[in-house]
Amino acid sequence: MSSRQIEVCVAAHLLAIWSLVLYKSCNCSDYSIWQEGGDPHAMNLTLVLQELVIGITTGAIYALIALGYTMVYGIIELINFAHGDIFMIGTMMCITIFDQFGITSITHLGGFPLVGILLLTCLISMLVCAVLGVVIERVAYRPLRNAPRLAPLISAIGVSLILEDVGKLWKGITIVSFPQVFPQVNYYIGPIYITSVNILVLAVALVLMVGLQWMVSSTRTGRAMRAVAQDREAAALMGVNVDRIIATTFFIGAALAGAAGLIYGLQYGTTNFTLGFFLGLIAFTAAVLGGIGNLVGAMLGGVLIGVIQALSTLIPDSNAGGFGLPHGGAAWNEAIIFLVLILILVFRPSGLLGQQLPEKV
Amino acid sequence: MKRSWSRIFALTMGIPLLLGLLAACGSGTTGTGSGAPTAAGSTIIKIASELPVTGADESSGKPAQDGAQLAVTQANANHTIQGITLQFVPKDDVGPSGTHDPAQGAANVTQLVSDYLVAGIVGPFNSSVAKAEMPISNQAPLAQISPANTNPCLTKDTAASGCSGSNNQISTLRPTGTVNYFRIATTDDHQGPAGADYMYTTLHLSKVYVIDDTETYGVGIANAFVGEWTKLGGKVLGHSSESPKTTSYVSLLTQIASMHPDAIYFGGVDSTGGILVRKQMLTVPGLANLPFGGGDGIVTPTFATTLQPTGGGPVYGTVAVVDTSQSQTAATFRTQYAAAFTDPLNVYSAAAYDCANILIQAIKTALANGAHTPTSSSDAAGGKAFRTAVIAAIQNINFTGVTGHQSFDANGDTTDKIITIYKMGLNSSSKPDWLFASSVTVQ
Repeated sequence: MSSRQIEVCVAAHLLAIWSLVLYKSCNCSDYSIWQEGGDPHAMNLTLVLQELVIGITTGAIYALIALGYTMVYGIIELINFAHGDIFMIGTMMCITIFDQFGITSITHLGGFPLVGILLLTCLISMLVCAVLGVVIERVAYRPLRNAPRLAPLISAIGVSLILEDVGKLWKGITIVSFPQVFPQVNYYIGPIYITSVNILVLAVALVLMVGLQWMVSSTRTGRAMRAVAQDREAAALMGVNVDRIIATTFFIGAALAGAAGLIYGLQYGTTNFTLGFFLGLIAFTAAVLGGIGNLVGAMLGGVLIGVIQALSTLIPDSNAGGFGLPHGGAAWNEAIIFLVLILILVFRPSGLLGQQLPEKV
Repeated sequence: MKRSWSRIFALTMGIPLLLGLLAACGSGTTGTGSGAPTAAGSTIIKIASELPVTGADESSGKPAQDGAQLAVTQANANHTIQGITLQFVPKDDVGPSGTHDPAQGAANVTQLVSDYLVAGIVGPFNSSVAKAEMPISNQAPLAQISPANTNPCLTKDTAASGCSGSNNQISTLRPTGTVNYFRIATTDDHQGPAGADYMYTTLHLSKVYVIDDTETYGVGIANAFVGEWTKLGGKVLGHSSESPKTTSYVSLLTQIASMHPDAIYFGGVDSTGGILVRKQMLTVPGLANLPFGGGDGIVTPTFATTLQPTGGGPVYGTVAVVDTSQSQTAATFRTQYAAAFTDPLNVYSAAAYDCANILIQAIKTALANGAHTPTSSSDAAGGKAFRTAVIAAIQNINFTGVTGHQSFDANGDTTDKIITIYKMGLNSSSKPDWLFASSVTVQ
């Protein structure tokens, strides 16, 4: 086995052990706990599996956003702090599009109109975010490409703050409701359920991630992107239009954030102008966890963080007596996520699937 | 005043518009004390109001000022105090930012303190403004009666509200040690218990899960709720503290669903998790139709407009005001108010009306007890003596007004502790809103 395989294996085992510890630490029973009459205090396997489902769906959204960070870092070694805010603009764009179609929280659509509107909203949101990403690159990053490394970092933070204010001007300072156009149906697999919205989120994320992977590995543009990432000057000498390829990278990364905006809204039902900061931070962490610059790493990192976050909720509340953390694990999930991140980075500085990049001079 | 949060934020948007307004409002009545200064004392006594009445605060403060003005007009028309004409001096504490401004409030009070014909102030409206004003009026001393301040820390040293020990503000706010600041609004620390009483006793719920937002207000109200709930015999399934920046509560809610609670109580405001928790409850099987409760931090227009249309279980919120929009005893007041002003009546109109009437009755009592009015606006000695007599009269007052029977405890807080319960629903014009559900008297 290669070292990478060993590490994936270790990560999978850690996850399994975690689940097992949670499972063992509880009084487990196997009937459905969602129905009235179930033992209310049994923290059982059902709950662990249910949290896993939630974690994977949340993680899929993190992964989509993380891809944007990792692609940009991979190609120009810039941490695009504005990326989380592009995602936030995406959520707001979707609300505006729904408004244009006269769709509110209480609109019930079905069949073809629903699919059509979701598809159209997704495409418009992706396009708007993609164009926004390209414009940001052109205005705030390209002129600084040969400047000291800190300069584009600062302009990235600046763009992030500007976008937050744009969001504030656009939808106001309060939390904005996202129309729940996709009807929620709960599908039970034994005692575990998965909602129709969860399935949609996973499907959209999967299609986009597979599409991206295919594009990068099998198309001419993808090959050019890899070439620029490896050695910008050599790529230019080989006839690759570096500026165009970098713009394309921003286009694709931001488009993914636009799609993430739609599925985030459908899943959680709200947005506000500060959303991009927190989700951006989590997604950036996911990208680093997976190995920044590595596409599969970002996907893995996103899902892993979603799962850690969901499972940490199950750590019992020590205030109620016994083992656990004060106020329960949910209050500590950010600390737990970053603890895991630190541990992984200490042993594997380039992330789970990170590759040692050739030394740059 | 937890709700002032949303106001503070709302304001950042309208500043440029407000600058113009402010310029127009700078020159109010400044009374020159022209009231025939005879040896027997002035026949003119001034009653001031110190409220935010322009800019973003207009809809909350202006109806309160109108209420106070109505009381003064009526007292003059009825010759409530023989031989004295009351003059109403309205002050506005909206500052350059377009919202209530502690610095502006302090400047107003300093000005009022220097006019010795002013016998007392109705106001302020916001607890942050009160903190700036109280040390000034206390040293004068000049009576202040607030219709709306609900922050417990202004008058008390309470651990639950985060102002005990080194955070105790009383020595700063009340440097002379003598109470001159009174309020007829119930303090926030009674909201949690009142919410628990209502949900346990009236709604017959017994198992509750409590979530707070880790902030002073949220933790305080949640702890007070848990204390009362347990005392009543209810079961608290769990109490978790979630960072106000949390974006997903779904994992936690899924775990909560497995405990089968009768209700979820949230300690915090709409933007620190109130809206998100309630919204995400809809997606978790078993919680979609569960009752949800909270304090005045969730009783906001944003909460109602965001969540009313999406359905789900009932939502209840507590607010530390007396809702006079329903009571029979306030019917006359509502009619008189509507005849005199065009500003729509709000819950603070009646409160300010009562504050002004308490002040008027106290002036009358002080005079009956032998106090003399100051001879002029600059009669410092006479003014101080008169103001001290008025403060003493307020401290011992027994007054029945439209908000109920008012008297004050040793801290200056009302003994008529009423919390109003609101339920989210559709108002008469079919818009999402908070509707009066009940009122709870705290013992």
